[in-house]
Amino acid sequence: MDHILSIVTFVPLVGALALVFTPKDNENAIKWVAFLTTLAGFAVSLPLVFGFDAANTGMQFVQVYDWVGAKDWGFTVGFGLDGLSLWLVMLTTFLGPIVVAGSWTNVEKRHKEFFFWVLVLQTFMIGTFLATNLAVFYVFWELMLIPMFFLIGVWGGSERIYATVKFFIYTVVGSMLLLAAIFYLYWLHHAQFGVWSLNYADLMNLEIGLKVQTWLFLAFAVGFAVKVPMFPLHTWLPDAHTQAPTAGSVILAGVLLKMGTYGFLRLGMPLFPGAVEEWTPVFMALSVIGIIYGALVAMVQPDMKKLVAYSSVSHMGYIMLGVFALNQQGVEGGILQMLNHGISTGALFLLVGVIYERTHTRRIWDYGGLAKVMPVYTVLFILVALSSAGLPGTNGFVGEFLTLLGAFQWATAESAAGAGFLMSFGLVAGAALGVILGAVYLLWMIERVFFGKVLQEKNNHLKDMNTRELAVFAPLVVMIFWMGLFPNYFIDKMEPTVVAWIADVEDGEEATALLPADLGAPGTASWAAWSEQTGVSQQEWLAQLPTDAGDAAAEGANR
Amino acid sequence: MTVPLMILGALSIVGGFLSIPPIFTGHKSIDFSLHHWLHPVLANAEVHIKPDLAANHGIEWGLMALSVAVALGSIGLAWFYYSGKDKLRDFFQLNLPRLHNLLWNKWFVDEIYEATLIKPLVFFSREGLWRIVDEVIIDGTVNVIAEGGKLTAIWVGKLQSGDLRSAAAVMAIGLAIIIALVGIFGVSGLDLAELWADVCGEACSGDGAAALDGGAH
Repeated sequence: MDHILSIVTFVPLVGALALVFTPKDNENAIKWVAFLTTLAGFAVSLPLVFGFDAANTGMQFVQVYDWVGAKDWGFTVGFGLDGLSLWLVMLTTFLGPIVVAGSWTNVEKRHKEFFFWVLVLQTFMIGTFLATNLAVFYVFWELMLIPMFFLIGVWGGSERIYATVKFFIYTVVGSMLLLAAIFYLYWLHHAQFGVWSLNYADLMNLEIGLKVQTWLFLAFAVGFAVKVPMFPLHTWLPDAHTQAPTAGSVILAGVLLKMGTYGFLRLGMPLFPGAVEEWTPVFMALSVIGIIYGALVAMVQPDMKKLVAYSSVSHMGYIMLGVFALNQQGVEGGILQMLNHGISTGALFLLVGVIYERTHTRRIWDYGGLAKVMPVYTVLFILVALSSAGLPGTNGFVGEFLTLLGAFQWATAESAAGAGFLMSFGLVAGAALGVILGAVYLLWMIERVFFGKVLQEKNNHLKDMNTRELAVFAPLVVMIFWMGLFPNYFIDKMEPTVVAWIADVEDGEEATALLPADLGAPGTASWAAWSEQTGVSQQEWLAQLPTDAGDAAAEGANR
Repeated sequence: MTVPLMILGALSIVGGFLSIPPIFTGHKSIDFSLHHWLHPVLANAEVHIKPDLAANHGIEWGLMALSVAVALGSIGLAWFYYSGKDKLRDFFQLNLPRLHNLLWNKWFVDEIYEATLIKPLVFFSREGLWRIVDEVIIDGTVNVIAEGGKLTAIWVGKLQSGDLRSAAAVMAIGLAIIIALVGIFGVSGLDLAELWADVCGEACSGDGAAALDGGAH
């Protein structure tokens, strides 16, 4: 168990190396190597669930390696797992074999390279979730782009180059801001503690004033918001999703988008809690705009894949809404919704891939009446769509409900603190409206694709799902009901960590209030430098702050 | 349609028993799972109705009586209307054709919905949000920035042509500008000591700077 995290991370990479030595003409061998590798990857990750100690809110299975002898510079390779990342890692390893099996027959060229990149991407994604050091996190974060670049750019649709470049530029611009902020934190840690470090745990000890926090938070937030994606940074997503091959879309929707929300959870919010407090209304508002906007634009899409892509914008809005609500229901709902979205939307992309493989069209108007021709496919599609729309009994319901509940609690607190109706309950009402719109665009698509008359003669001869395809969807359907009917199994594992995480962020908000706003800025990086600049000692600064009693009195007077 | 309706009818009889409210069972609620389905998930977000309101069964009875009355009344009316004994339907059709038409078309609710909500919303989403906000404003901005980068690269790339003559020409122009600036503003604006310190830093002893500055420091 000592090395389990590195094993989980690097098993897919080993499989990728094995692929290199597989003859490129032997398609079957290539597929089986890829499939067995991802299956093995899932198998070795199972002990993480069973060995996970839910009560322990810290990092578990921790591993730290010296990296290129640069320990003194703060570059160590650290892996760890906690309640925030456990299910996301499991989601990644779970989707691995499904993605490979789902691509069994729809890759038309360069099979070896295709599965090589899928496997490599698997390692990079797991590495990002497991990193406990910002340097490692960033390296994996950027590495993820490369396989995705090739997957869309080589195996994509007719406009794949435009989509790839757009995807690349969007994410790289975000990542550059992130990198700049990471360097700043690296320097700041040395300025405050005299030691170079990029370990999450060390960085959490930094004392950063509100002004500096705001800049750093925004740099992190843009990097993460592009990945989520949040309105208005979302336009790469429909293109990338539509042009990507099925496997690419599933990985993109299933795991890559969660990198953004995970980034907020793991880094953005706990590192800069004061800034988070200030900017919460903005992010809440953007989330709600994303929910409604994504749903409305999804509704009018003529292309099934684009419709599902825009629905992702809407669904990711719920996750951000829950996470920024910063209460137990909201954050747990947000994490649960990350898993739900990975499963339901991943399954939707697979389903669109199934029909595309048969007809080579994704336009809704090319179908109609499929229910008569492909009954099994129809039942599966409707089931998955309903889970995506949040039908009670399926996974989507629990997550969506909890995020809305968390947002409602947030609105109640905001309203009590004097926020206007629009910026409190109005936002939540908007988010709730998105639930209805979610049902609208999914059911309308179902109506047009599956019911009515068969519009095209050739669609009368479509073959229903084969055994392999059914086997691909079986585990997804199991998860849809398991998470919908027994969500507590999943919530129990993360709950203590979430509670501790919320307490950390809230403590951080209070601690920030006690710091001078410019502490941590270039000229005033540490308390010593700040005192020298301003001529006020740390004790004097703290002494002039209102005491707790005074604080409470002032607050009481405001009400 | 009859068979599905029969199935639904049968299910609706059973469905009511999934959670029998305490009003029928004394205060012991018969515990079927529906009542506690999300209980553990929402443990700390539960809201309970005020005890005095819950204890007042008048509202509960009243609501139940009302809904049962509405259901029974509708059944009776439908029986009356369609059984043919009373020719109520024919009476309506002949004497109140407009009312009949209105009811026959379900108050035109679908049409009103279509015209006031669905069509405007679809139009707004397609032409406004998708075609304009997404494709023109956001994508347009992104594409302009990307094009700008490309054009800058092409323009800057010309400096890297390896053409000696154009490099020499650029150098000559630059020199001319510097000479012109020095000619106009003189060198008084330049603090040579500071410049020296910047270039050389602390590595130099003070001598160099002092020598340049004529010993002013």
